[in-house]
Amino acid sequence: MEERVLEILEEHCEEAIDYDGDSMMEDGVIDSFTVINVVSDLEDEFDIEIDAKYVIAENFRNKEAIIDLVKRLLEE
Amino acid sequence: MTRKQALQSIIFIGMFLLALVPVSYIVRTNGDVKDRFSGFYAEADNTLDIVMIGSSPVFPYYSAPMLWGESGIAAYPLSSNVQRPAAMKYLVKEAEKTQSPSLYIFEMRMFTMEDKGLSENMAYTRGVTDNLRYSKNRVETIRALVPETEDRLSYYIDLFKYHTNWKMFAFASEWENWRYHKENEWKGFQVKDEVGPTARPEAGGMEGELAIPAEQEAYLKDLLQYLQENELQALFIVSPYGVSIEDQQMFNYMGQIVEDAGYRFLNMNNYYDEIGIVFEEDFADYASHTNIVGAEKCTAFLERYLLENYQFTDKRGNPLYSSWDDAYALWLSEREEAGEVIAQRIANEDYAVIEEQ
Amino acid sequence: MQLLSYSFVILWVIAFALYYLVPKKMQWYVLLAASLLFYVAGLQGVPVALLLTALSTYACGIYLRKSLGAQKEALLECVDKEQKKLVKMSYAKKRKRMQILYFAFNLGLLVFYKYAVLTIPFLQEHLGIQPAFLANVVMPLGVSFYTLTAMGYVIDAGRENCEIETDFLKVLLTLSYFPAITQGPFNRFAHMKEQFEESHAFDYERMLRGIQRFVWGAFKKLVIADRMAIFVNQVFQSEVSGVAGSIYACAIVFYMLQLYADFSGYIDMAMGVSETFGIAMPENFKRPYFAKSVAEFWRRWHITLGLWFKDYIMFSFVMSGAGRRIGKACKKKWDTMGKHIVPIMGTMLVWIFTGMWHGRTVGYMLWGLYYGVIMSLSLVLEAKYPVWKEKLHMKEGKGYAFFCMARTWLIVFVADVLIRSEDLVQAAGIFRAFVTHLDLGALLSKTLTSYGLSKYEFALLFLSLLVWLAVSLLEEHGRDVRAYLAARPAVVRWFCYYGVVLLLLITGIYGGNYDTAVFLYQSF
Repeated sequence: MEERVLEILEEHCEEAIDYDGDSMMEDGVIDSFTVINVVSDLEDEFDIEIDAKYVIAENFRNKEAIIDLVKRLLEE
Repeated sequence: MTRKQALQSIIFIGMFLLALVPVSYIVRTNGDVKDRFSGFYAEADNTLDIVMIGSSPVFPYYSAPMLWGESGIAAYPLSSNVQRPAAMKYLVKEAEKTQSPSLYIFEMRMFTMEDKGLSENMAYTRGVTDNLRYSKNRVETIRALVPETEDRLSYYIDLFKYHTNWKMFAFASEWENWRYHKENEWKGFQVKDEVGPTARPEAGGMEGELAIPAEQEAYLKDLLQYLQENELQALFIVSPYGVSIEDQQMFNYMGQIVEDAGYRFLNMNNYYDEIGIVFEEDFADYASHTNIVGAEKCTAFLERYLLENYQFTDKRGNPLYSSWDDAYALWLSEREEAGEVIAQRIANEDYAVIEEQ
Repeated sequence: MQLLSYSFVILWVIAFALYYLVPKKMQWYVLLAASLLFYVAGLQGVPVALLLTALSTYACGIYLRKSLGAQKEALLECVDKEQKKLVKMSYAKKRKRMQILYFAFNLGLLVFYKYAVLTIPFLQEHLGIQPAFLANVVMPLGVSFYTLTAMGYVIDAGRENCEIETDFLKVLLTLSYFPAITQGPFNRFAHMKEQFEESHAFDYERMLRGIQRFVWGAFKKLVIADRMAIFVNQVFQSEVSGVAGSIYACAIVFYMLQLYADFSGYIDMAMGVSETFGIAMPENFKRPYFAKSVAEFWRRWHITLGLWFKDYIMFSFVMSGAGRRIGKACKKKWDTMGKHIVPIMGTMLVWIFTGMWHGRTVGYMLWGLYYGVIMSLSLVLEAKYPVWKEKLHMKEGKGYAFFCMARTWLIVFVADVLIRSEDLVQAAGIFRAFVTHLDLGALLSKTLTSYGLSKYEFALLFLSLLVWLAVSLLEEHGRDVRAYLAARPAVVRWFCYYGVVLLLLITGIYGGNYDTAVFLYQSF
């Protein structure tokens, strides 16, 4: 699962893979369009619904946080 | 906050305030009034015989250099345009700080006008307050002249108003004003060489009284009381001009008040012939202010009056007054030059154009 | 009240002293009192609009909290997943209904106060009504700012993304917090609550830093922005046909800088004030004119507004039921291109709202559309950039970076023609002047100094801009200028401080013959 998330992320935004801070959105590494595309692909891939309430800086602060989010949503 | 930090803050603010003083002196609007006042502060302590206080009928009418050159009397005008009578007392106080003149001369033309009309234009007030050095008396002057409803802060700290003049920093002449202490080569006199003819007013010499505005009467009485209490000698004068009947009657009215208080009152509108003033030639702006020819006549008349009625020691030759000798020399040369210009203008009927304000 | 006024300085000093004298638990009450004083000063009567928004926000929050609590309890009694889902849905539906009611009410207030005045001519002409009460409607201070802050909070509360405030006074404080009330930045409730509740001990260095930032902001506002405003205003008040295109170009460039100096100057002042109380607010500017694309420009300009629109409009729309359905349908039909459709719709939505939020004129609507279209285009074209770069033999590097920056300036330049022009006729005239009547010589002749600024003023502006540029460059390279100065020897440090303060006092446009221009963003 993790691999797949990273692949999707890399497809849209290579820098996000190398990023090791914890505020990817504020730092301008990943812009809102990229987030939308990533979310859309993650939804298709894992058959989940990522509601707007999950799309906050906190959940997209780095690649680990995104993996975490997908995990949580899969468990629900 | 540690003690060191507190100390640092205090020094920082203190130095800043100190720096503001010269800065604000430099950016004050340049011009004859600024030069006149800063020249007053530059006079050596206790050297003046006379301080003349009043509005614009002071500086173009009476030539301090001429008075000096002919009689050895040092008279200096503390006058600004449309000066409010309410300011006179405070100007006396200001003068008393560094000088102890044996006579104060007050020019009374402004007493005929309502103070309300004068206070509405802040330039008339600022002509006085913004030409005084920072002091307690200046604060008191502002409190007396500026209504509380107005922005007094910008009067107290005039930098808040004059900073728009920051170009003054480009003028070396204004840098010299950093202490508001710059010798005035003309001793406050202003040369006018324009000609604006007018008819000799019929009201001159007329009798009858008309009350002056109540607030001005109050200011006058307050001033008289102040002079009496401090045992200061004073002469109240009215300079010749295109006087109206009402004005003339008001001068008669205030003359009575002044004389009742034990001071002399000299309305020069009663002495056109004695002065020898020619309304068609001696005025610069059609009856309000004299040109240099008229000034010579008015000064001569006042000079005679002073010598007849008061005691002055002739200080000519005293090295302390060398700058006054220079001023007299300047006066002589300018009198000749401007006199020629005026004669020419009269011959060509080349009369002054008064700019609309 | 205005941040740039004597009365504010007095309020600041008193509030500051009280803040550090009262028990630490009471500190936020001082801020509340100062905020209310700040808000009410110069106002006749009670600030009805603010109180209505604060009360409804508080009440809605409490409702959401109760509903979430009840939902939790109901879920405990559920036996299977299906039932849980049903319970959740039924509660969520109720919450949504309440939120919609709340939005309708507050947006209604905002629209009423912002647009009521505009309806007067229409009512008079077409219906013959003299709406006296409408003429008296005054836009409440900060209504465009606190309404969005409040709505953002209610959305976050519904999404369970922030703690719900149970103290009405804290809601009121967050909405009316005086450094931010007039022009932002937009604060988030969670972020503020935490800080209001912390105890703040007096900190000398922090106080100095706050004052420094305040003075620096005032410098940008009074020395730079208001001076440029003189030129810009005169140019735009002139008859279109009489102004050379080059003068217009100069005026627009000035306007670009004026807006930035004015707004970021205000924000610096607000942040400085807040800093002295130990309350950090989110940064609103990160040197936008160094941006290499328009999207980046808007991530650096009025940052908190951008974040607000992104979080609450963009994502809300794209990830809503409707957004998802449209997205799926488009993707099926057009594949790669199709996936752009929904983000583009979101972008347009955001920009139409942004335009409406900023101004009430057609110019602002066009301005919003313009940015919407540009952003959408760049979204679609982004994939093509590398190909074009290759073809044009462009290489990454300083030159290319500068090219990108210049391109961004040009786009902003065009946008600012739209919002600065008095009307569309003038805007069209200006574009025409660029082509037919450019007259570059005018910039070097006396024409330039005939619009209210003398050559001295230009020289001073140039000098001030250099100082500003130097500071910006340092910041762009990650330097904290205030910390840098603080570490210098006292002589150097004090020289700089005195220099800025004296320059501000002497050459600032205030008092005297000038009217301190109202802050530009206050009217938004």
